Amino acid sequence: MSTDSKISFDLLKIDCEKVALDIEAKLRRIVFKRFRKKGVVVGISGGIDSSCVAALCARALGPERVQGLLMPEGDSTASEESTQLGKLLAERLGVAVITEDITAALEGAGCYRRRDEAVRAVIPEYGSGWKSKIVLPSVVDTDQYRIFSVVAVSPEGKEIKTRLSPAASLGIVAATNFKQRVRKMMEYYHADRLNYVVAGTPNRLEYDQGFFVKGGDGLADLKPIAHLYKSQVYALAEHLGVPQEICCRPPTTDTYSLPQTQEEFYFSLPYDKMDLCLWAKNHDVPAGDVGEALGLTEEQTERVYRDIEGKRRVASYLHAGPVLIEPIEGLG
Amino acid sequence: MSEKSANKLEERLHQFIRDNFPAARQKDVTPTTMLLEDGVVDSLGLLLIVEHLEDEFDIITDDDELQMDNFGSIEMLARFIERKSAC
Repeated sequence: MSTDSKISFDLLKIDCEKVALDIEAKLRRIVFKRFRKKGVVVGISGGIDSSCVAALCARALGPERVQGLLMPEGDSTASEESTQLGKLLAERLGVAVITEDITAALEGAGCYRRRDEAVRAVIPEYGSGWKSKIVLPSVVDTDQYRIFSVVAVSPEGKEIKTRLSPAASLGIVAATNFKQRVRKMMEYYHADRLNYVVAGTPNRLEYDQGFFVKGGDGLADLKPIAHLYKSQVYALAEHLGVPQEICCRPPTTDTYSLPQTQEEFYFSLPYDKMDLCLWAKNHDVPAGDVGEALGLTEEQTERVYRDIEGKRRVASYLHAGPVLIEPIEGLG
Repeated sequence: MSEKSANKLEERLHQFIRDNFPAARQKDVTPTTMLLEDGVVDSLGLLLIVEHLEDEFDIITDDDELQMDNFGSIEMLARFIERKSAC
């Protein structure tokens, strides 16, 4: 791309009605003609992405063909708020919603116990009543490589932060991934029961950068907004009448027992800046040019670009389907 | 540290990288290959390298030392170990 072009957030502006109509037509074709199913199951988190997908599905297929699922669990720091927002959305869209508390399933699978054991490997005093999250250093503030630390807070409020060992890092992530996988299992239960498909809710940033669990939130029959940058999803959601309470809510992972931002856990920058960096990288914009628009130095932007590349390498495994040793004749 | 022992240190590190990272066996990793930037090692692999340095060379790595200048390549890692061991 020519370096003379002005880099600004305006580059991500979309004609929301046109985009919505295009997605809706494709949704109808995929659900009814390609898969020959009767409707769509959407796991509703109370966040912007699932709300936007639910709204698109309701407009495309009719609200009576959309089954919303609320799936709170014991660890969630925003469980009650998420449930309330999910119900508000369902009411606004006129879609049916079922609440499935997945805490017992997670306890049965040993999610919390296994996670706590992994944390205890690096923080021996971690025990009952403690809360935790894993965090990454900022890309912008330091040129340190990004490796995970765990932050734990005792019931008395004492905070401990320590770098994870490889085994603890893998153990914590493996255990918490049960959450996304149990949710997906529940979505497919309802999809099978209703003869529906399951909609996935990643935006482009998440899809590109591998911000999903393989076999968990990464699993779906269709992904209606995977081509849209997160700021475009916000605009589209607002256009579709998603409640303001959801449109104004800051993104969160809501996976760990301590509140955690998406920048702490995964992305280098807040979503709007991350969107523009990803767009710029996709269009070969030099780091210096996009940095100016974002208030970052060229060096900081180069670090974000490198972080994007590194995550894409990891994401290639997450995106890969099962690999066959030999092709199977007769299957297209 | 003599040149001979520096080379031996790089060889030990090279062997560790080859033993633990499949990408290092597929690529022709040299002492100057950038480990993270060239996709030989990911962030989890970096944790493994830190653990190895702490166990094998008895050095403590602070978070702010986890930088390209120290962990970027086998050559940089060897220099980092030399500096830490001299402290």
